[in-house]
Amino acid sequence: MRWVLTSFVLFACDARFSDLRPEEASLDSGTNGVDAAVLPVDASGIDTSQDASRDPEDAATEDATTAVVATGSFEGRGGYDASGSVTLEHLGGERYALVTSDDFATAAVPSPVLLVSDRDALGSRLQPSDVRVATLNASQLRGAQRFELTLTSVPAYAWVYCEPFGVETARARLEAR
Amino acid sequence: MNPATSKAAQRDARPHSFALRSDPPVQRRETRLVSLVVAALALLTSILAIPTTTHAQAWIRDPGHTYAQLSYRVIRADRLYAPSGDVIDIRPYRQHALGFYGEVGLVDRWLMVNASGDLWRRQVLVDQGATSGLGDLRVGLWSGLLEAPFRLALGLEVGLPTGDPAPRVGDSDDAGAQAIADVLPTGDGEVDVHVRLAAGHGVSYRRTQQYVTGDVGYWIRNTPHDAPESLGGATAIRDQLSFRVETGWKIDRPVLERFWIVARVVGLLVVQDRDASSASVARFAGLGDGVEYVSFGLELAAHLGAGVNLSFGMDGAFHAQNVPAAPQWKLGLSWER
Repeated sequence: MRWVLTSFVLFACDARFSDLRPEEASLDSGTNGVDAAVLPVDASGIDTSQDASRDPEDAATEDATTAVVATGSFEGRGGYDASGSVTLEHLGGERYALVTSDDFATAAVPSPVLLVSDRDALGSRLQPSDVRVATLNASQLRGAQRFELTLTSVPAYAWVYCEPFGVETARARLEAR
Repeated sequence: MNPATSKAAQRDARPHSFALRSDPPVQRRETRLVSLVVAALALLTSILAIPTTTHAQAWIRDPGHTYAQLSYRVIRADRLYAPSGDVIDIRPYRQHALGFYGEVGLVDRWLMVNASGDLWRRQVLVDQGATSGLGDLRVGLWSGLLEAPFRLALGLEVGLPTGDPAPRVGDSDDAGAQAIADVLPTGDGEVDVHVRLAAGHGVSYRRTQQYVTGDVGYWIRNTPHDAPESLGGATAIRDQLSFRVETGWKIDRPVLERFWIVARVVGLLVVQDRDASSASVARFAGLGDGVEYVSFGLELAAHLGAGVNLSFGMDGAFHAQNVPAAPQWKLGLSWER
């Protein structure tokens, strides 16, 4: 059976890809508008996997300057399920950390992006004022994760968003603590 | 919506003259009651025996007799049936496909071979990216089980992974481009087996001709040989139940006898459960795991002469998951002898 499958795979043709994105818009762009310059953790050289493995509570106690400034609970959007909560920690200056809870879970969709925004609905397109935090890999769709970012103000919402198709999958309203 | 994104829907049905091909028209002098009973029996049979694709497979072609069709299908969607069945807004999505379908009779009554697939498939996420290439192909064998009082045939079709389940971008493209390409596969990447039972019957009533055909099938799915890591890698596709009921009608009058009006209901339903820990990534292009739909379609077919038919139709879903929420339009050109 295996050789049959292999022979057809050999006959198969690779699809050809055409990039249709406008010059100024790119999925992994590190620029996020003028009001909130964000450094995606994976783009700034920080080891995301190590951060993700840190216990959020331990991380908070290790850094005496850390203060929780907002929390929120995720809810599913667009018919997708989501659960758990998120905490925004102030690390000092314009540095913040977005921390998800142990019971965090969001739907597996293509290229899910964790972002923060003041908008209560994203629609099918992101705006320059929306701040991308990270593109979540499969292991980051569940459980405690920690992402450091730079913000100039505390955003109103944390989102998980399927950017290629422009679909909202999870939202948490961040309430000040 | 568009069920056509899935392989089962890519094979379409045409009302080529199969109602006349094998079933001698009911004698007009027969009583109306007899005709109604026969039609009711045929309808009941078709409903109980579901088909899968449309091509009148219940009628096994005579040896050497051939049917071939080229079709162009297009979907223009800005909404999607989410995994929950809800309709949600998405970026504008376009799908273009050049499909083919063919049948050749090999052994009188007992054996017919068919093949179908997308010779070219292009998917576009507007202002994001596009992929194009060969789609998946299918080959099958059909054998007639009954010729009277209605047609009944058993088919076995094998899906071949000739499409690309994990398109790669060029060396100069960035990770964002790859993320877009990941969601625009041209194939599902797996060898699958589709077992189908098809039934059909044709009748002539006064100055009209009708046919009813249907089939039901069990689609044994497999694990793709490749899948984008961003979508969780290769995850087994759950088996599906397929069904189809179709009826066609035409008037036996000069000129009008060249036209068939066809209506159909087509469905594809997932029949296996999967626990949450192994859930696959939601799909958008109608390929892969978790695709479901029940759709209604209409088609008008015109006989141009010399065995050539031209058809135009649309299909739209009223229940679906993981497929674009927009009609699929189709233009077909077929030939038979």
